[in-house]
Amino acid sequence: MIFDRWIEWLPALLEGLGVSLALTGCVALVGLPLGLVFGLLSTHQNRLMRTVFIVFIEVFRGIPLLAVIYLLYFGLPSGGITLTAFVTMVIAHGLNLSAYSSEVFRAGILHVGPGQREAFASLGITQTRGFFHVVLPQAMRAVIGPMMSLLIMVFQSSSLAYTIGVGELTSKAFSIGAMTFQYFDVLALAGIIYAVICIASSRIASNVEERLKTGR
Amino acid sequence: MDMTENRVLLNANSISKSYGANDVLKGISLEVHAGEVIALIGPSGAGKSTFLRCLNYLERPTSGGLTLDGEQVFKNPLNPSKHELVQLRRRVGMVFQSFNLFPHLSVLQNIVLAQTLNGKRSKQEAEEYAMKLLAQVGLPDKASAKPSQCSGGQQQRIAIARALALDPEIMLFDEPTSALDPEIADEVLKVMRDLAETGMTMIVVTHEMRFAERVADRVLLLDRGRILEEGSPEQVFTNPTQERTKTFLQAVLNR
Amino acid sequence: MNGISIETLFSGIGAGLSITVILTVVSFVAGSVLAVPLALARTSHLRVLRWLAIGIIDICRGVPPLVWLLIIYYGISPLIALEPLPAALIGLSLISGAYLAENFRAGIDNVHKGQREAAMALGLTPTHQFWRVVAPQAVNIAMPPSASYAVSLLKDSAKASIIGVADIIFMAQLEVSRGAPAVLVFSIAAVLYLLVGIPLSYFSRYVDSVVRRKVVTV
Repeated sequence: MIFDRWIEWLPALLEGLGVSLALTGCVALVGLPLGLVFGLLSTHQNRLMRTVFIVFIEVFRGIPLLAVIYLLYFGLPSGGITLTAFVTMVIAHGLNLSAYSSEVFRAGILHVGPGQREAFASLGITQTRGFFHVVLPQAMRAVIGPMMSLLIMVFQSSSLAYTIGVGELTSKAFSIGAMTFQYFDVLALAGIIYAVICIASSRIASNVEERLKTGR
Repeated sequence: MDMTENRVLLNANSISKSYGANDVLKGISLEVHAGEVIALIGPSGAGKSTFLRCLNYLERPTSGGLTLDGEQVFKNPLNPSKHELVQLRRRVGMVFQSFNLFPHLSVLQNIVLAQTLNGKRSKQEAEEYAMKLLAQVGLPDKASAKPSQCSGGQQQRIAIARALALDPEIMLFDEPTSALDPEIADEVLKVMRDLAETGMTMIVVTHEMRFAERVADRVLLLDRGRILEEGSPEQVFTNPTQERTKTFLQAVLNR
Repeated sequence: MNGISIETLFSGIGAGLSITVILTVVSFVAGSVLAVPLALARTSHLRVLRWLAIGIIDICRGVPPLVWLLIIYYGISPLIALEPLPAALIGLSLISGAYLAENFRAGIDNVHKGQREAAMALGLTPTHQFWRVVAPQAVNIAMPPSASYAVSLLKDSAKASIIGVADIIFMAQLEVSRGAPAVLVFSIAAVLYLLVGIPLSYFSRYVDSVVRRKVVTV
């Protein structure tokens, strides 16, 4: 029975899932703050500054994550830098996420109209203070929904860590497949685990987004 | 200007409509004679548009029946068949407040579409007829334009031509000028006045009291889902029987 | 660097370019075809059809693309002997079908309610209402997000290299295994993706602006 085998494999896969989730968390810790910085710089008043960062973001968004992973994983050792596969993955994926999240942050910041800036300026509040107390809190609200969808994508793409041998969910499933030759059964179970988490969290995300909208 | 015959063209019998506990129409009956122009006026929320939309079943009445030219429109009014609905709508034309022209089609195609799909005319005949109607509403040079390239008043005149293309026996107008600036509204009202003069049977939901006064044969004032006042424009505007009618008229005429 | 020049690297890695383009174009086209019945079922009046479509779309999108490719190539090919390329095409088409179906669904939902009413009031049959009035406008609305989806499909296609499809990334790995420097090789691969992707994303923005002009609310 397939279910007996699933129960047998489940502990190993859940262990892999733990690594996938840890990867996702670390990637978020790198990619979101970096994305906020890029997002701010891409709305900077200085035109040159703005252009440099917009180009950087566009280039990164145009390159497949896999190319970045391979570049770092196979390229860094020749420069004398050796990192673990996990750390390599966090850096590659974190950079990738920063490019995507910067777009979301930028849209969030632009979403707060110039009326707000004029309002705090007329109250005698400085640019910087106004930005942190007026613009950013409003932008954050607009950003939460798209950000959650991005994190779901990050969780899915963490499966690419399989290619460099990080022992996450897909790697675990594949190695069980390689040992037992029951690739379909074990990969299907992994697929179900991914799907359940992704579907549930995207439902939660759209609920939260809906509530934020109506809460206005 | 009285073109009215005695033949009853449309008979709405005790039309009611509720949304849950909210009764929007409380049993409205209306006999429309061939060639008659009826203006439906009243405060917003009175149920004017809902009643009009019940006449071509865009809104399904909760109870009540329709006869068109002496025949029952539906075997079972509460559960009309698809065929009966399509047949009713081919005989009853409608013009909307927001025009609702098809943005992906040219002006000419807008007018041709239903004629050919409904098997009424061949493509060539339909195009010729559409050109004739465009001339009638004063827009012969807009045939190949897209609706988005036309002004609001032009779009509404095209929408009237589109509805006329099926040779309807009766035309329903749902606040046709409410989305337009007053000076633009006049060009649409003129087309409607010309149409009334050809003997077309028309029911018009409107806030244009001058139009109701000059063009309508009969004015109905709806309030809270009932007919509050009914009569010739002269009676309703100068000799209303109800206190609420006076209040309403004062409010709109002093605007 | 034992006889490796940038030109030979470019032509070596570029040999995978046509496969990358084929993966993207074929799975986009096949996905569009799959998306039509899915979107129709998704917006159907019948609850069973609607739920079935939601289930299929959610599963296609909930399982990561890489896992789909592994399931199809390693899990199913023992039964029907699939080569890497067809396996990748099947997987990517399924995924793009689900994403495009959601775009089409949003297109159908966003056609103004008055459009269907006007079609009804003109006595069009329900079939004509949908196919002659609602559907053409839905396609217009769905086009910009679908064009920008093509760009992410281009990047997703890189995952096909993992099951052995000889695309850009695969050819790059081959060059690295022959001793070429990885940083250079994968930078060249990145440039090749940008060469296809940047025009594609400009095209998608162009589509967006055209549609915006065309489908102004009337």
